[in-house]
Amino acid sequence: MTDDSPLSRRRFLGLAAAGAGAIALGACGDDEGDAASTGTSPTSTSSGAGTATTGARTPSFDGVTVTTAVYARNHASSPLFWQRFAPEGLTVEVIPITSGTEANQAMEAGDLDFALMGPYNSLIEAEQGFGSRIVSMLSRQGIGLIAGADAGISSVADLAGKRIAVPPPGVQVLVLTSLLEEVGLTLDRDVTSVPLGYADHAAALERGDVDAYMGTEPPCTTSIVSGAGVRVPGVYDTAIGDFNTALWVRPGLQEDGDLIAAVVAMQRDAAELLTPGGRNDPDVWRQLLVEEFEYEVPVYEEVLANIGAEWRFGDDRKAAMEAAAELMLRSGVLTTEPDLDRLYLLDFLPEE
Amino acid sequence: MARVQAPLTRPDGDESTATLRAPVTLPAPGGPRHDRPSGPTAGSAWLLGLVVPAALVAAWAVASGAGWISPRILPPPGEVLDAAWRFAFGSDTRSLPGVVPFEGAGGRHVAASLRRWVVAYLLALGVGIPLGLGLGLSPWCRRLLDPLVQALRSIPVTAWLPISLAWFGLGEGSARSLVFLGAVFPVVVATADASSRVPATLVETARMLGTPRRALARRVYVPAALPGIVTGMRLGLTLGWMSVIVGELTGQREGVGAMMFAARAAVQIDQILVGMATFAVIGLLGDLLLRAMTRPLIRWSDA
Amino acid sequence: MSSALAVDRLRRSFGPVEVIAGISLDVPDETVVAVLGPSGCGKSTLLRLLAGLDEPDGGTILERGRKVVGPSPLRPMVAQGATLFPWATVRANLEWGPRMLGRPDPAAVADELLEATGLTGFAAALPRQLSGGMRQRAAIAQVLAVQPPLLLLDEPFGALDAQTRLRMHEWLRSLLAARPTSVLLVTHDVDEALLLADRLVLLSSRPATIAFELDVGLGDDRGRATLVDPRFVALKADVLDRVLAG
Repeated sequence: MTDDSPLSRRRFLGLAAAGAGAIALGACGDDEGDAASTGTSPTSTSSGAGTATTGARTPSFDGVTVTTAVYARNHASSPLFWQRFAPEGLTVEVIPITSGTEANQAMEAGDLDFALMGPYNSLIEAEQGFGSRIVSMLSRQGIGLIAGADAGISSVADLAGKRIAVPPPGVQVLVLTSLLEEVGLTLDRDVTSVPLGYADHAAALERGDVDAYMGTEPPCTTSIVSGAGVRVPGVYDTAIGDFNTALWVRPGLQEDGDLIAAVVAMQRDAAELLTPGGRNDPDVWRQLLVEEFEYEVPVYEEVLANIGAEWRFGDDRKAAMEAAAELMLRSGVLTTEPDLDRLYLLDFLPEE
Repeated sequence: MARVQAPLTRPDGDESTATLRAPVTLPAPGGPRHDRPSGPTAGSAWLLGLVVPAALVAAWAVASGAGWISPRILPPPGEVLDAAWRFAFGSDTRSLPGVVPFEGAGGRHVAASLRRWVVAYLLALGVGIPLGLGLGLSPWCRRLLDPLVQALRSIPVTAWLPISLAWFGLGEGSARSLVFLGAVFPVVVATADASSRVPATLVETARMLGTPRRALARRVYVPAALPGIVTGMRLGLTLGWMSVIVGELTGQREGVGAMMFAARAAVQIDQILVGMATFAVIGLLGDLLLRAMTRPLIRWSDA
Repeated sequence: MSSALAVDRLRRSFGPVEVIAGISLDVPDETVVAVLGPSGCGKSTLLRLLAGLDEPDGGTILERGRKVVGPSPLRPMVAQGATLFPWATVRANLEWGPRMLGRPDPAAVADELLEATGLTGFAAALPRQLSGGMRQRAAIAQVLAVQPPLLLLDEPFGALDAQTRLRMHEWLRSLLAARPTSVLLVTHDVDEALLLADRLVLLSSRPATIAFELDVGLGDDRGRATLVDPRFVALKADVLDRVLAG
């Protein structure tokens, strides 16, 4: 048998033999060791907006590996490009995950150094004593309110009396709640909600099980392209804006300014590669979405207008976090007012 | 013993000739029997098993062709077949580490899943058979551990996922622990059951023939319980394989299940179907292989 | 003459049920003793005690003057039904004992017994491939392979049809004639007892005590012809009367 990380095997045998023992072995590197060999050479660091902001000193990252996570084949995938912009010696390892909770747990356990998270999960976790902090933005847009093509829904107000698929709590639920509130509707009083995972939204709409769904990309665009659904406008007009995900650093690394600065710089470079000056570069996205993720070309062409990579975390994003917190407090999801300033570790954001 | 067609079995009226140096041919299992309806002959039996699947695929093709089924719910068979071809033989041109690939990545995904399966399964046998023997043979051990084993085995593998991630973190340790949990309980339970049913007369005979007490497990209990243990091994193999997909919810870039989760997120149903077919085929082949490997050991118990 | 086995006032109860109530008997060297009794009278319990597979509540069992503790190759028992290891070939079954005891050349022992049991052609067969009679012969050969001074047989031919059983009796007589082995045979078949035994012990119904003892005295040359010997017929009538009287 070939192996794999001795660390995870040791942990595993620990359980098999004793039951629960070796839990807190910490550290990263649960992987197959191929990430280091596949990265683009560090010579490409020269692109983008110049060197890191930590001053004249050049930190050494020899043999350092940072682990981060993305949702598989999701638009919020700028970390896949980090390695291209990595300083010499730094290896980036990107692990596919399937939920924000998984990312939280893995960061707390130290399995992930950096991870992406939307406002909802981060506020919930913050209330429970989660120690990770925001270092930059990661993605914007990427959500959609999709109505069945013949469901007679062209605005949020038309949702009254309809069945709508709602994903597990996240930014989509916050946006939907705000949208309904604006037109005087309440979820589960005026609108019937059907809890359903993102991946199953398109099929449910296609089958007519629901009249609409509040989902993510690419399922939203898949419904549009197939003709099964239409976009209901306005999802980015709430106080949440087009906040999608931010980049977080785990508790144990927050003193390592050099590393955070390097990672934020990589995120800046990756975001600028995909979305230079705030506009998507179709060729780079095509490489990611069509060649790597195998999206159908019509889906790629359509989805481009509804996604974007991001790194800036300005006052607008802080305002969105406040709006999210206010909404969650009001709906009873949060019981205590969060100290938002404690969540930000933005000193390492590069200058414009 | 049933009066079957065994060429060796001679009526005792032939005692005088029973010493004949009869060529010893073992009766083929599964031969014709008087008390059962006659089945298809061995040569055509496997072909018969393809009739229903072929009919289902034909119905699927017709329904897709006629537009009765939306391709977003079930793509036509040709598209799935094409995806299967790309999965197995396409060229993997991906350059970004961290992407869960599909085209040309069949071999890598299958190899990763197989490795998880085999490693965790061997561990499940290593833990499950001794534990099962303990439960089956030692009343003390049974009283101590049986309630725990019975309770734990009712927990679905999926339910272990969060705790496994918390204990082992994202990665291979979690994946293998989940496959292990899927495979180990059938092995434990079947081994305990089979070893507790070993006839006392066999053990007594062994003792009277001078077999040392400490050799009884190896010489008598294990061989006598082997048919039951093998049944548990087969069940464990299949359930372990079914748990591989759960094990691949642990931040895996490689693995058939990992590929399916990635495809699911992007609504790539043809890829999901290819993953399902891969699970079916490999599970079937694994069971056939295990049966072929264990058959010589338990031929004596063929009905 | 010394005793292969000496049993003195043996008692055994299971809970409130007394099964054996003070049995004393002797198995002299190179003698076949048949214990005859109604079914359920405790014959098998007695045999298990003698084999060391069960412990008495009272009384003693001495094997050549030594107390019996646990099962031993010195007095193996062939239980009802086949006691062959079903996963092992006939040859491996026969070689089992000699191998476990570290005796020299188990293969030669097995060869000799295969010949004597007429199973040479079936050495590589599995027990389930043998007929009932062949299996029973193999089971007896399996324990004879350890050359025990005393053999305990529990209804060894009970599952066979009458003709096969008779053939088995003749075979067992010839087999034992060539070996210095004592036998304690438990049976409910009067013919079997009178054909095989030198001495016959009749047990009462439960709780078992010795109701009657008899030296058979039909000579060494017994076989199918014995069944119509007037002495045999008279003896059988007498024994049957006592058995049926309980």
